Amino acid sequence: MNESFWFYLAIILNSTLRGLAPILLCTLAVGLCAKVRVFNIAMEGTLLFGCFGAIVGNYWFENLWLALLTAMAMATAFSLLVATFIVRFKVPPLVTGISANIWSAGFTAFMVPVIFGTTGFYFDPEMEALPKLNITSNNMFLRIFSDLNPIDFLSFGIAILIYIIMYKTVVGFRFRAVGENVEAAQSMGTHVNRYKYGAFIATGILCGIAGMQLSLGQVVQFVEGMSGGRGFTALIASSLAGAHPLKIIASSFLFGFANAAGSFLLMFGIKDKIAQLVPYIITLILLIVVGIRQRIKQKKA
Amino acid sequence: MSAENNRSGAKRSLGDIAFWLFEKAGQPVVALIIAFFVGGLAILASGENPLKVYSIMFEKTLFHLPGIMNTLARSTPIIICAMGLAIAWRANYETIGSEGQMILGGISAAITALYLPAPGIVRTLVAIVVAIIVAGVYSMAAGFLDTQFRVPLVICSLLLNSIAALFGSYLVGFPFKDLSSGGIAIQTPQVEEAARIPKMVTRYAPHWGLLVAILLVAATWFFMNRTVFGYESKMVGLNSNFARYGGVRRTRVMYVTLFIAGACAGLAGAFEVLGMQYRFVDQAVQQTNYPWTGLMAVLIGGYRPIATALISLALAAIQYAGTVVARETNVTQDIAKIIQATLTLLVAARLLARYIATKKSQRTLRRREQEQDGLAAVTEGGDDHE
Repeated sequence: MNESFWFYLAIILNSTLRGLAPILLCTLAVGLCAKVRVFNIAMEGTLLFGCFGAIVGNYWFENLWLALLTAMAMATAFSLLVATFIVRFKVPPLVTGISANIWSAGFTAFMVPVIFGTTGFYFDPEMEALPKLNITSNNMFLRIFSDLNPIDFLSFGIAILIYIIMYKTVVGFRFRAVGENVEAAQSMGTHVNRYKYGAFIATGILCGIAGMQLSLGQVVQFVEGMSGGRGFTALIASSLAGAHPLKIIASSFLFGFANAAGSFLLMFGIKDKIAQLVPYIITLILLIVVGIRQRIKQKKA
Repeated sequence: MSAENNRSGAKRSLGDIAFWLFEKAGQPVVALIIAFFVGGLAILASGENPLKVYSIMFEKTLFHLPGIMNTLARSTPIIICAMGLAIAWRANYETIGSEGQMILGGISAAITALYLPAPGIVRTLVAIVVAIIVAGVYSMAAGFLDTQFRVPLVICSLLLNSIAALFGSYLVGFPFKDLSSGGIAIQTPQVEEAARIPKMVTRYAPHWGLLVAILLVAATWFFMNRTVFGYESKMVGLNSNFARYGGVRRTRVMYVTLFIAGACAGLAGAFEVLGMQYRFVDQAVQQTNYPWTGLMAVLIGGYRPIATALISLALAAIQYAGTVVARETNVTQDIAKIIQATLTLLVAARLLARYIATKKSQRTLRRREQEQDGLAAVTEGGDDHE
């Protein structure tokens, strides 16, 4: 193990952490929805609304806090719209989600020229970005944390917070009960739909924060379809973690690390697509292993 | 169509026919009007006059030969994807893996058409067959994971989508990349003239794949309504347990319907490569969004093949109209996506009545089953052999 290996590892870990927050937050949101038995495929669209809201808020108010509020408000409004169709009108979640994703892609792209007067993307070097941690020291361990913004640190806190709420409080217990057994939860007097809406509101808020990190975190810009499949990745990462908040940290880290390693290997002429494939293959294998274990359990029972 | 609605044997008056038409088509038309209204609001927000934009849209799309031709060409892959999806979704196997299957079909067709040492027409046919087999088997893999390892089909097909997209990007970006133009564009070399699917009318976009799509619609209708297997798959979709009691082999239904869905997506991918672009371009499938549009058509059409095909045409027209409007006015082509998705959501909300009815019947059945099990447990000491 020479010096340069640690140096490169630090670089990869750093770029992993810089890209991790959106995936982590989205995966947490998917996990919350999965807990109340909703397969929220509209994640991609909600995240896109978060990005869009953040950039629009920043453009209008030139204030980061208000930008965050706008992002949350837009993503939550969209998420509630999806929830209305799923919970109130009982439209199958898949159908709703698929149309909602296309609607979101269309609407955000359509509104870029309307609000900013440019087509396809908006970029403003003058615009205020999220504050970054500036680390100039040559210590490898500290290098890992350079250029991170508050949301990157906050996202881990949110994951732990969700874990505590989910497994250590009464609200969390009821929340899980809704997913485990609707009839039992109803007979306890739980308002099932309230918890479902709650999951969607939380999804909107998390997507607002994630979108803020995506559009104002590293490069200040909005591009058509900038969510870039992260919503779908989150669905897969969440199913890999079994919707458990702490396992979600690990599973989203896996996906983030593979992306970072892929773009890093590109510098050496190794194809990044193959590196990006790895977490999906790992997920596939793990899901198969879990399935086999379940079958063995059933045979024993 | 008429056989079902003419049970009484009496002659139907014009009024009856009009009423039946409204019942069948009225709700989608109302949904269409609302969708265009929502689109109109968006156009208003962008500072254009919706009426002006829509008049340009209709004129250039529906009353303009190149417009009609382009719509037909666009509708080809949408219709083909939609037919396969209709069969799978109707059997309640909700696969969303068409995108990955179409990518794999396209790239495998391109590679076959480029490197197979054979005369042109043979190469075309082999490329199409290879695309169908590759995509169909890939689609069945999701079903295999679902039944063997209890991984939900939706998650499987999403996973396989991502894998196919990345793998396809790798193939087109590295081993099969076209280096002649300096390798700026990530795409395969062009398929030579002899191995292409010819155009139906010279100088216009639609190729002979359109005819295949039309035949496929007829075949799908026949499969659904006139074959035992089609009936069985419908039964599985309506009520899986009932179908099992009736002696339907559900795994076989699953594999066959999923294979058909994948095969259609692969065929659509092959046609795009051999008939439209003459090469596989990276991200082309993701950008044109054909598989998802096909799925939207299926959801609006309520799994009925002829309705789905007509709606595919309409969605293709809206898509093309979007590009026209983008050329002629300040509105971007994303207006098409807004109209399409609004339409799907509205019609999906209408489908809910049938959905609830099915779920209710399933619940009742399950309750009865439990009661029966309870009785059996009381009488025999309860030991059901699953």
